[in-house]
Amino acid sequence: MKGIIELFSDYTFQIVALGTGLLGVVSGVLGTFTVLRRQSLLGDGISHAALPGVVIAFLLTGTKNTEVLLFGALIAGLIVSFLITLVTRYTRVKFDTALAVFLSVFFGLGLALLSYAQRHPNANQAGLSRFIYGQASTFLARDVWIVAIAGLFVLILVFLFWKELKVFTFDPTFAQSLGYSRTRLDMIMNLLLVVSIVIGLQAVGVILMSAMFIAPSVAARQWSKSLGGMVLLSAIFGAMSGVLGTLVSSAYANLPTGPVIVVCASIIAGISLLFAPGRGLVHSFYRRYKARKEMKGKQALNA
Amino acid sequence: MNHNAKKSEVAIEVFDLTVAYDIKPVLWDVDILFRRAKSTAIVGPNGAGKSTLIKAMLGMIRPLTGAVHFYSKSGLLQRNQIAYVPQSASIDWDFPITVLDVVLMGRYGHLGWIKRPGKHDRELATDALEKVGMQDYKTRQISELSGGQQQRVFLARAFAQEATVYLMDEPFKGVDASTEAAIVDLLKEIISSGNTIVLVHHDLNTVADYFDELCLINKRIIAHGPVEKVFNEENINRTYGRNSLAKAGLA
Repeated sequence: MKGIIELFSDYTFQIVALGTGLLGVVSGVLGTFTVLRRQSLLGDGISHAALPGVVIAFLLTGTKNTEVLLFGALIAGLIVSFLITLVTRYTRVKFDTALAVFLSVFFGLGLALLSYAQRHPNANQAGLSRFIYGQASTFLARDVWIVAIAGLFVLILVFLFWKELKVFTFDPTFAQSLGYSRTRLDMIMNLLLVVSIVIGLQAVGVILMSAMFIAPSVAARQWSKSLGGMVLLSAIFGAMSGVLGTLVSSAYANLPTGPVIVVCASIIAGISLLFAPGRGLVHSFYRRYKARKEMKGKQALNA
Repeated sequence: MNHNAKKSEVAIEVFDLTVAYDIKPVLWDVDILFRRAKSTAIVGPNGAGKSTLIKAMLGMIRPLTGAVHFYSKSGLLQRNQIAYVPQSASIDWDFPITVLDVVLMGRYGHLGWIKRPGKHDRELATDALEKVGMQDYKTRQISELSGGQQQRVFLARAFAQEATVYLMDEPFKGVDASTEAAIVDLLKEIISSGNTIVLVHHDLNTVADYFDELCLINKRIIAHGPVEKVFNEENINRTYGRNSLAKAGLA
């Protein structure tokens, strides 16, 4: 217990936990929309596709500035989200296929470029490989500011376009019939998603980032009856996973933060799937058991 | 297709509409006008382009050629005049949302971007729910509704739009007999207050009872006009293929 209190007063821990907590909030909020739109894996595609963006940004500028590298990721993410939308809408290729293709092509390109970039004298110092699995322990106050500012941008847009995101997620054809432009809403949604993925890359990495979107919202769905409630709860679960993951990985020096955060988020999702009242597995098994028992009782009476 | 109708009697005009997915035409050279304060059933076999016609009229699908006018004006200007009722199978009924929230979406077209629904909108949504007899379900989750109740909620959403033209895609699908009767009453009410209905329909048995006009379609318009003139064996056979009326048990 004393160890934990000490940890909480540790500056490095505070910075990292603040960063991952904020990250959890943003990805929890956005994840709700992607999960409800049945596009959970879009985040996976975009995050993998961000890798070549990071490496190309490094190769072009030779800098290890996080801002510059993340800007590369942002551009790559926007390009791939645009391509996926385009291919899904204008060809017969289905969403999941388009996603799989772009994910593997961009990620493969990223890995190839990465091994090429390693020959560059600054490469090791730039720590490009941290973007693959994430390295939250390298978070500095500056990085937390990036997360905070970009995250605030995302949350403000979600607040402003709340009504549009809601109707568009629930019933896109109806939204169109009201005169809302589907292209414009797709663009807003993709922009929000890409920005919130990019700010998580440094801490969680391209491979695990999508779990930050899916797990908290899956958990939140189990407990909530409104979109607002689900978004709020998902944000809370996301923040909890971030802080808890950072805590665990700081307590055991050798554990990487990103994966531990994802494990925490998954545990919350698992508990919710099992034990949430109404939608949880345990409750529905119990209901079925009770119904069967009552039915047997009635049949016995009739016999 | 010449009805020689006066402009003031016409709600929707469709000119030379051709729609294709890829290169395969789904609708071919459709010219049709829908009269004001009448209900028209669009009837035809699967793949005849019924839903496509509705979506093209709403501007959701870009046609190869042609145009749609509402009250003699281009469709896009008239959005708030048009209420679209999609097929209920097209949405996720497990979505975390209440009945009232769904109906409130009918107000979104009037609000435009960013602005939130206010008290007036909530009142209109509540009135709409009363109209379809669902006022007691206001705060229910939509996942708890039966098929018929889902359809009533969709209708309430359309009423909340305060539209004058209703485009409906199979509102009778998956509803029980009592809901069907309730919906038919509501349709009659819409018509008697001077509004227009265009409705995709499947059941040939009820066409004559429910609707004023019939539009038979199979990629092209086969026949269109008052039900008593158009609804006959010859036209049905031309729409569905030979002897289909006998097969449907109506001959």
